[in-house]
Amino acid sequence: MEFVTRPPREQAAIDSAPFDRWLSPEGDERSQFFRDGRNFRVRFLDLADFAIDFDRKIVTGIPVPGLPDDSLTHLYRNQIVPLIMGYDGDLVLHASAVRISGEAIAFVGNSRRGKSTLAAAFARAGHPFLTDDGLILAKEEKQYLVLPREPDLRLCPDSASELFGRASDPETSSDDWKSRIPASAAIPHSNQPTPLGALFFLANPQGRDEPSIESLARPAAIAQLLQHCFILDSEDGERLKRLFDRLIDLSATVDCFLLDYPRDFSRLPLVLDFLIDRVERVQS
Amino acid sequence: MKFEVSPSVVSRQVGEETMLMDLQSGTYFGLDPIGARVWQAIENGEDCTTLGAMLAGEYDAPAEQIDSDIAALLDKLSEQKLIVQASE
Repeated sequence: MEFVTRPPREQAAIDSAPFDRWLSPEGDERSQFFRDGRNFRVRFLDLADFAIDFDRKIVTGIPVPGLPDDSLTHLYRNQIVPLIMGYDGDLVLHASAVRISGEAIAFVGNSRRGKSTLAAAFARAGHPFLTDDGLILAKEEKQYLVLPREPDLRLCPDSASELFGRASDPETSSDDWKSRIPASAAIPHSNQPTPLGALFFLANPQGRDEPSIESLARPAAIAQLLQHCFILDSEDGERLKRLFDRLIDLSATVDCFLLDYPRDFSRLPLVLDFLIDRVERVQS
Repeated sequence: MKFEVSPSVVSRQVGEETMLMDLQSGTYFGLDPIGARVWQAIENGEDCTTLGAMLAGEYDAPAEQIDSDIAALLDKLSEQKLIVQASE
């Protein structure tokens, strides 16, 4: 697949209505999906437009003026590629994942739910991250493996500052644009496919002082999984049926939980200890 | 009254529940075992109003309660566009 970039331009209005949308937790539109004669078109509002030809041989990316150079590439790798992989039959979730004692745990949620912050916090504590977003799962015999992806984290400015002391970059000081944190000795990344031990869906914060998890029954887990898959064509019935069956299998194979935790950087170590303790108790 | 499953809906057994998914809207819905029996009747083209007496016997529950529960479920499934009235 070839990725081609075009010069920056403002996002002009598109004549047709999108057939699908991604929303922020607050309900704001963040992405729109269109179809024209030869392409899928994905618009990340105020960031970039992408055109994906129906054969998935060429992807064209057009940034808005002022978008940092690596942001377009990051959107391509962490959003467009997973969408195409999902379209081609892979199982890809909006999730980050870290490796704890040889097993992966994943944090599932839409943009700005905290999945990258959790991955970064675990990595900083010595538990390598496997992916920041675009969790790819491969079925191997009776387990699912998390396939490692880019050794980069993308954090909102406040997370980058709190966790790594990164001052806001004037180019990325907009709330919409994130700071790139590459893997390092202090922020390890694992490139080993790792068995998936648990999926934690990030709940709407309930204002708790302590982290809590609630085991999800399979139907509820499947409903959550459906909401967090990378789906390029939400109108393709046959693809959706196959995806539905795969998610049913995933929910039967991997424990799924709803995770609520205090959205307070000072409480992150508590959240990490809570989850590590849970993982180690299950493993023992 | 007879109903039909909407063309874009698929169902799958998940443990003790039956999950319905509308491929067009992305709506999903879970049915308990009684709901699953009602769904099966709809899929088989049966008249759901005759189910009440049979299920009342199986579940040792008042027929009126079962009838009321079935009617409420059919309303909800219709509201979600998971079923439509059958063409005569």
